[in-house]
Amino acid sequence: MTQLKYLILVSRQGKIRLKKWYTAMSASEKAKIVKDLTPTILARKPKMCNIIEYSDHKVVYKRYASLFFIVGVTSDVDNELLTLEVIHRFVETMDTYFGNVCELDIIFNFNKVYDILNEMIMCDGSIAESSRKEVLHHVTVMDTMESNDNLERVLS
Amino acid sequence: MCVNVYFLCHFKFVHIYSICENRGEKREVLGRYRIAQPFQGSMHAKNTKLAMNAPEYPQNKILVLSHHSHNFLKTQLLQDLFHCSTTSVSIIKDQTWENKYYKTSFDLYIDSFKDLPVWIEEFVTLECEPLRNVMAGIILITDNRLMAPQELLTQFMTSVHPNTFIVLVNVNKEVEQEEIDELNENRCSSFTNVIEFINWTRSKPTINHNEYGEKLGLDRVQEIIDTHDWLNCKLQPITMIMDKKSKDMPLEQIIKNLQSARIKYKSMENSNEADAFAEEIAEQLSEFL
Repeated sequence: MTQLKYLILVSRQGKIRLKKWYTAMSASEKAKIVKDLTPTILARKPKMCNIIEYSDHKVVYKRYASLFFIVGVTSDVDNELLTLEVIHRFVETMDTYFGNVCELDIIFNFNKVYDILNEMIMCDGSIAESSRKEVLHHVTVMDTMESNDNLERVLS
Repeated sequence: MCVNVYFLCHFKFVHIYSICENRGEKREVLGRYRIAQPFQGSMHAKNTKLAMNAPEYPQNKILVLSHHSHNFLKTQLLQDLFHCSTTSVSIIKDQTWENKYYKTSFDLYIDSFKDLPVWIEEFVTLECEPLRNVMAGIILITDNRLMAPQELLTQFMTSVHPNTFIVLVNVNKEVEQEEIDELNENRCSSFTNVIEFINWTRSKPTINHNEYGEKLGLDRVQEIIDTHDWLNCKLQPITMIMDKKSKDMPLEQIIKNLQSARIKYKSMENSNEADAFAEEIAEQLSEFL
């Protein structure tokens, strides 16, 4: 059982590239989490543990190239190592979709990144789909539907 | 520093010009700034505050800076990174920058110094503020064995625009990548700007990626420029450029083709073939949409 609280994607320079909240929080709470976690995680050395305790929950993070994937997890419910796998699966899926994904891909295709994430994780923070193939299939279907919509618009 | 900044007040705007001391005739318009408060009474400092934070001016200059002794390396870097063939000038206008998502242009300001602290002292003065505010980034070529530029960063960072990136390119071959990584890890995270230390020597091939899969050397500088938030600059999407290139077919012809495709689609009995045909047409059309 996985119940993520949030997923934040931060560049090495502390710029937020993606935010997804899976629990109800006020705007000030969200701002506080981002403000607290960003410098804390960016300042951590490479050989430090990828799991930290923050407030009433734990935070799991992993760095890929110049991007930090930060996930808030419920202490008693979530498995931290499984969360690392979820992050890795998310990166793998993006990698396959974009073909060696980079920060620029995420900046200019953030809607697609959200689509991939939504296919993988449900709105309550539990895993919806773990198969990369299935996630990519759904996203490709969405792309085709979008393309067909454009065609219909022209034909009509 | 050879770039001086001059103001010319005109109505509610201030036009800012820079003149290179060694090229007195060269005049470069840096930008047009709206004055925060209208002119009322005397030209008091309070009334002449510039609304620097207002999104009025394009932040489209990149300064490439090096010590006099590194001028040759600077030329090499300019060639490798920006494909500049002419490096004898101080300003290269409308340098085109293109990646797979957008195309933009910026001006390259090329300068050199004898003493970096003196240069920075001049750069952080109030009269250079308009110049600092239009800087998208500063690329500083250094020798990490001769000077410790990270110590000067604090002074630098207090004055530059929060959106300006600063890249310190080490050109000393003896400096190992681990040392540069350590500098990047130890740098103060309280700065809002993008600050990075890069290791680069043209003759010594560097490893392209570090343990995180992050690009190194000039590839990383390129990535920093790519992901830079170009304030008030025109970014031309590459798809738009491709559209323009493919617009050799007139609209009437496209509509005719669509109509004939529609008739053909309806006449096709095999639904699989019809769907395949529709998808093919959709792909062709997407180039013109």
